[in-house]
Amino acid sequence: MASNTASDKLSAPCSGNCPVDPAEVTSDNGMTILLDNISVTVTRDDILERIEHSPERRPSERVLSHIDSCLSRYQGLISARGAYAVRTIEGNDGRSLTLSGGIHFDAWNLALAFRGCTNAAVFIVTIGDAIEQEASRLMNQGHGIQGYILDAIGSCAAESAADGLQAELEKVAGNRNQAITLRYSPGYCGWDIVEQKLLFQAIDASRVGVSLTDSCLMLPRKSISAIVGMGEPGVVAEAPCPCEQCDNDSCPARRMPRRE
Amino acid sequence: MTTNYENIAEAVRTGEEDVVQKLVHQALDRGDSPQAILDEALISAMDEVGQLFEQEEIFLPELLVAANAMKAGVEILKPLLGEDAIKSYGTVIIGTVQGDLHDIGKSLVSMMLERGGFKIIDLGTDVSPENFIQSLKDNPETKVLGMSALLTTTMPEMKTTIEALEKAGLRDKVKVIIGGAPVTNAFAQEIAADAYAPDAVAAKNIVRQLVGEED
Repeated sequence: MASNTASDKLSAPCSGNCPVDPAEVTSDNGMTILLDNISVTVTRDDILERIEHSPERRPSERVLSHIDSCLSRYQGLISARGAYAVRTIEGNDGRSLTLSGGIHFDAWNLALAFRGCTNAAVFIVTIGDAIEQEASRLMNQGHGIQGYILDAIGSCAAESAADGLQAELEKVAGNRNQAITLRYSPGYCGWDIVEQKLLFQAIDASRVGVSLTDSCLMLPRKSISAIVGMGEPGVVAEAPCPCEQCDNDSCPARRMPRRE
Repeated sequence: MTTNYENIAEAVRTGEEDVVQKLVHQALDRGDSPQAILDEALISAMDEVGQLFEQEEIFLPELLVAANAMKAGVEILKPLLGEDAIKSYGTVIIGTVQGDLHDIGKSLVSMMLERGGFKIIDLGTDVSPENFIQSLKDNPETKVLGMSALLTTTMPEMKTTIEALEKAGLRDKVKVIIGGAPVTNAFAQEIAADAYAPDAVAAKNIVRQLVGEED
């Protein structure tokens, strides 16, 4: 589940080669749009945050040296690509969400966060499997620190790729005079990871080279699947955040405190 | 602890692989026993680093840097000690359960157990109950079986494996320890595992307790 995420970062630019002009993507029938060569950036600070070092607690110079060494080679180990599909929201009863094609998510967090949205975009990004294989190889050879850092870089790279695709979705929504919500992934925010199977029905994941195991594990593992709501900017801006009602206080993806 | 051993331990703590190697060679040159260097300098230093990690004085990367440095020293001693001398605490079979392909966390546990003096048989990922059982039959000296799962959808495989151990008449031959992001102590009790470990250092300490070699 480590590769599924629900970050709210929107910063990384996307230089994807979208075969379809986002302005032309007006159909909400779930057509899968592919994006190749998504730009990915991972910094030392990204890694330090991932491995739980705060600005007040910098790691040793030796650890920093290992991080820099791994950062100098990660770009050769990733190939970021992604795909998305826009669908109409056909039902939202406050506890579940139904998309066009009869795809029904039993997810209160989506129902809450997408309140008032008319569409949803499902997306999948991956950075390929080379970096996870190299991390495992290093780890199995006893180079634990290098394997651990490279694995962390892979996770950050997948997040960066997701940020890039999400930025592309903002453009798509903007061309429709819409805005997008934060992104949500199965396995987070109380959304049952088993619904990953439904999410994969909403998009042709094979086009981006990602498959799903029976246990809902995405392959390559450094992949992220998610959904964003799309709606009038004013509606999206006022959409509540599920974190306000979630009782998982230790959740690493928490975006705001629980409302008492 | 001699001054040289203190220096070796300090170099392990700070992750200075080259210094560890140099000091281990010096100790051997002056006639020290390889086993003493291993136990009193290297393993002792890693235990201390593990305690600092538990006390949140250091983070996992520093622990791993120290583990790398310890390995540099062990590699020098291995040919002199022979494999068996290093495996002082016993054999542990470990693997990520069927349907789950996450291996970084499991490998970290393997590494910490190995640095902590155990012989590790790492079956990798996607390990079926049958494979766990076959490995136990092939390695009857095994004292502990460790299972990892990173998905709520694969956690039930831990229970399935424990039930398979019972059916095969092997459950009372080994202690079972489980771990992984979604796994909890309550889940360990629910499926009748012997222990749950929240991280790699805890796993090493708990496995030592399970085999009666408490710190």
